[in-house]
Amino acid sequence: MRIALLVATLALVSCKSVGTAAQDPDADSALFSILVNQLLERYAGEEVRVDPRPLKPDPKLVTLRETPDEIQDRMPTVTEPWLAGANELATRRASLLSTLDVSTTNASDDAQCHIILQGMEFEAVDCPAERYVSVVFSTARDGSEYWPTNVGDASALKVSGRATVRSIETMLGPDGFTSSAYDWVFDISGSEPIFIDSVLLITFN
Amino acid sequence: MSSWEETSFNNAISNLHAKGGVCSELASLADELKSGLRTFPMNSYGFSAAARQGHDWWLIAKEIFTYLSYAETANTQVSLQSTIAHEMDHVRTGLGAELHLSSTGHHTYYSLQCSP
Repeated sequence: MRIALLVATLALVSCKSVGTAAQDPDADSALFSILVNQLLERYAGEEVRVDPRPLKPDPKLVTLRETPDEIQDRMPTVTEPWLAGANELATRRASLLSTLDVSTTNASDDAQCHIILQGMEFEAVDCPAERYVSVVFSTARDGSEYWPTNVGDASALKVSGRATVRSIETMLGPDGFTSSAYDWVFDISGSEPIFIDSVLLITFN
Repeated sequence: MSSWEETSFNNAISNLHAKGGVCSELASLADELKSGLRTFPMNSYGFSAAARQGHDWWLIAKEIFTYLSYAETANTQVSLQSTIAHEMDHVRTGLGAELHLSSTGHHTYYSLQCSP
C-alpha cells in the first residue's frame, strides 16, 4: 500500500525537474518522497516519525543538541538549525507524510531526551514512554557529501549533477536515545532525482 | 586523555584482545585511533560517547572512565570496555542508529559480546 502511494506521489511531484538543489517546493517534494521511502526501508519494523519542518542546508549541522566545548573545533553547536520562512515546504512535507501514512513529530522536543550517569547506571531524562525513530531532513544543497573539517572538502559543494540532503535520525525510547547524521546524495542530472547513497557522518548516544 | 585515563584505556584494550575474534579486531581499531580520543563531561551534555566516520577523532565521556572503567566485576549496563567496542563497531561497519540492539544506545551486538 505504501509503495503504491509513493509511486502515485512521485508521479505527481516529479512533473517538475529537479535541476538544482535550490529550495523549490516541487524539487523538495520529489526528494522528500524518496527520502521517506528509503527511511522506511532503513528502519523496517520500527515506528518512524518525521518532522516536516526543514533544517537549514548547513553542512555543519549534525545534531540539534549542544555539543561539548572539547569538540567545538570539529562539531560546533549550530544554534539556529531551522530554515526560516519555510512554511510552504513544511506544509507540503506534512501533506506527503500524511499521504504515506507516516506520523509527524517535533524533533526539537525529541532532542530533549538525554542520559546521565547516576552512580554506575545510566538514567534516561525527558525521554518518551514509547520507542520510535525521530527524523528530520534539511533542504537540498548542491554537490555531494560534505561535513566541514570532517568528511570531504569544500570542492564537494561544486560537484555538478549532485544534490545532498542532511538527515538527523534519532532512535529514542524510555531507556534513552542514539542519534546519527547522514548525507543523502542524489543524482539530479536527469529529469528525475535518483538516490545514490546515504553517507553516515556521526553517531552518538 | 590523562595518564590514568590512558591506563584505563590500555587495560580495556588488553581485555578486548583477550576475548579474541571480532573483539580483538575492535581493540586493534581503537588502539589505532587512540590519539584521536577526546573526553568530555557527560552529565553536562546528555550523551556518553560518539564515533565519527573518517577516524581522526572520537569521544568517550569522562564519567565512563571515572565510574565504569573498573566495572568488570560490577553488574553495570556498560563499561569502558563495552563503550570502546561499541564506538569501534560503528566505525567498522559504517552503520549508525540501526546498528543498536535497542533505543537505549547502550549496546550493539558486538559491544554486548565484547563486554567484560
